[in-house]
Amino acid sequence: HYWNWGRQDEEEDSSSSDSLESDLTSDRLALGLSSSGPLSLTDVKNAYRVCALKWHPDRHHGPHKAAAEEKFKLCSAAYQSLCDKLGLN
Amino acid sequence: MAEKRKREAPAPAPAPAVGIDLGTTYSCVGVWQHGRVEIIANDQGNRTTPSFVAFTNTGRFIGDAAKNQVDMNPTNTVFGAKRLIGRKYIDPSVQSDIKHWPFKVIPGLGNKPMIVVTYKGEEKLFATEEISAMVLAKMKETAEAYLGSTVKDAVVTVPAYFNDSQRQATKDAGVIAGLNVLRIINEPTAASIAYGLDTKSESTGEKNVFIFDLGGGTFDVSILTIEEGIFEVKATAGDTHLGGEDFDNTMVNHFVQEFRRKNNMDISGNPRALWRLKTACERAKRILSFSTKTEIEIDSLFQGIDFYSTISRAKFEELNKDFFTKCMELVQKCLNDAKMDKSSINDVVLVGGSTRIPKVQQLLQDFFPGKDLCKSINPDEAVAYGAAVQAAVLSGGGQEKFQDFVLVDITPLSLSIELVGEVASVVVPKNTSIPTKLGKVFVTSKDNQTVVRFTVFEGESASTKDNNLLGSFNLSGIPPAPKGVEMFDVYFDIDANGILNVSAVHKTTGQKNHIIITNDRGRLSKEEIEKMVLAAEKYKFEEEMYKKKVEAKNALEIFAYRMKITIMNEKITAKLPPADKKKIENAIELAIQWLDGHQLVEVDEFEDQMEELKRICKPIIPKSYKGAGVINDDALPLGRSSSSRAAPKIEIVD
Repeated sequence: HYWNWGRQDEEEDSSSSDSLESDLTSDRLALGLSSSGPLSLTDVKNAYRVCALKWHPDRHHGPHKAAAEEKFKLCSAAYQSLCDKLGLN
Repeated sequence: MAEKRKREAPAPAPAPAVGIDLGTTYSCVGVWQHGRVEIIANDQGNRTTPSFVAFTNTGRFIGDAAKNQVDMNPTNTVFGAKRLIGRKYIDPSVQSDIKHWPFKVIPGLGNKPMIVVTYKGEEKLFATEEISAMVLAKMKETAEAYLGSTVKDAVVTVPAYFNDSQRQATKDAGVIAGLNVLRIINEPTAASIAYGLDTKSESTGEKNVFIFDLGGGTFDVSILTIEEGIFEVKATAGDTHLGGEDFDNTMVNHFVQEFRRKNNMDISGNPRALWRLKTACERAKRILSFSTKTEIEIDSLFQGIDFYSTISRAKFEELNKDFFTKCMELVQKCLNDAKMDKSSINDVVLVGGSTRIPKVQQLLQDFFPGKDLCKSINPDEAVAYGAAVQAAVLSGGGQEKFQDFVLVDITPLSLSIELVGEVASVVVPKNTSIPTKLGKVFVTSKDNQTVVRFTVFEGESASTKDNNLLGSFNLSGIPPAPKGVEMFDVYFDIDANGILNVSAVHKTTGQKNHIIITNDRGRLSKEEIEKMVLAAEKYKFEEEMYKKKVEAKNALEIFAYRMKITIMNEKITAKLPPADKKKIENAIELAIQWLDGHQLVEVDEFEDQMEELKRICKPIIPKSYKGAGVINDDALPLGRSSSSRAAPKIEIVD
């Protein structure tokens, strides 16, 4: 299951545009955004903030804390990678 | 001790979690209560407490009491422990600090700096964590006195730029102080909470906030994006050894030279003279924030020579210009790291006592033209304020108020794996949001390598030898192959508490191993911490015993002198047979003499003396007498506070 987290490695190992494209899709989905279509930095920020409020472990006190934390890590990584890409363009 | 408190307050509700700003020079404690933060004043009525611990022949003093007696006891008064915590003795900054301190620091096991003091006539060694724990315990007591119940949980703040060793050591200090540290949070981040909640009502939309936190010993800058209740730290930079103390020290050096020039004498070897000069310099620094010139006047500074001099604001600025330049360089660095232009900053927030220095404000104002520097939050209390809010959030208190509040902090330093040739390969870049999980692929470096060692470092240098070692682990059972063939997935997993778990998996065999970074060679072991917890309890117990002794002695002393006055009152002694009167007079005189020779014996002995004296004096004790040492009789010249029914607490002034 470690492969789920392997985005960064795949980026380094391969420069094919296919994998970049699929990364973008999974990142968008992780933040609850539509998988394609135009995307602004504001959309990404807003989506991330919704995720942060929902999944940040400090906002969970019960047994779901660990699961929320994992979810937050996903959102956070997706946010970072989308910001980097939108920032470069 | 806990039981005693329980008896005083019959059914205490569990105390709320508190927020503690453990500062280099001052500490501050706050609590979230009734929908707001209360900054708690100490027993002297002060809202900040000096981070000072003093050891004397009779006992231990913490806070104001410790700072007020440095003059008389410079070598046994410890301060600035934050500059030592989590550092090695050989650290250049430790070496330079030691030169300025009147107390002694020596290298201990594993090169840990150990503080040497004389306590009750005996030489004692303390780890930095123990000194910090004493300050934390004082803050805990301050909160307990205010809340009326035992405090367990706390959020403790550290400079954002503290490394892992410094954070872990601070956490250990909390444990030694009997606290459950809910989280170690970054000071500028805590301050941003104080600022954000303060301005919440008047702002809408995203705001980029620059926090400039220049305190007594450390300097931090952080950039945050705040929208509604969401606080997102973007970047942080700082220097864990830059603050008001350094400004004082440059002034001290300046005046030491001046003294040498004027008198051809060197005072740098005399702790008491240096301390008096430092105190005068600190005062001068504060005055120079309001006036452009001030005097230094110290009578009999050294060998009976008085020292008088003046210092201008311009001279102060010149002496410290390198420090101020450093501050501004870090401001720019933080903006670069956040990939932000300074024009995109909405607000600049000043935190920490040293931001009162006009030059610092002017440099910032020039750097951010047209921006108002936000001074609406109290620079001395903002960090404890934010810590108190975070304590309430983490302990689940005040949920409604924090419905839309979340704080996403970052790792201040890059985390890496060591490659061949001491090269650091970064896996988690600095300023990454936490919690986080990031991975990277590594390969073998030698032919037929069957064991791979993963060594984890923290820091910005490309070479691991300049970074901070966090730990290492091996992965064995790798099938022999040419170098570069066998691959490993390495994951760095950091939770919201900043605990790092590094794991490695061999791609083909699935062999794995991992390490949870909670330890490094400089850190206290579990056993050592347990020993220190016991020692801390013992010191506290001894202090309470000492207090009881002083109280028992005072009670006897007051009673004896009151009886002495009473026996001279003819209205009372009129009906007394002369022999009885003589007997009472003798007993009183004996008790007073005995007291002279027995300043601090056991509580029992004071009580026995008291009983004996009471028995003999019974005929003259007024009926309204209540409790030890207090006679509620208007005819007797007791202090004005005698209207109170409880025994007056009389403290002996040393």
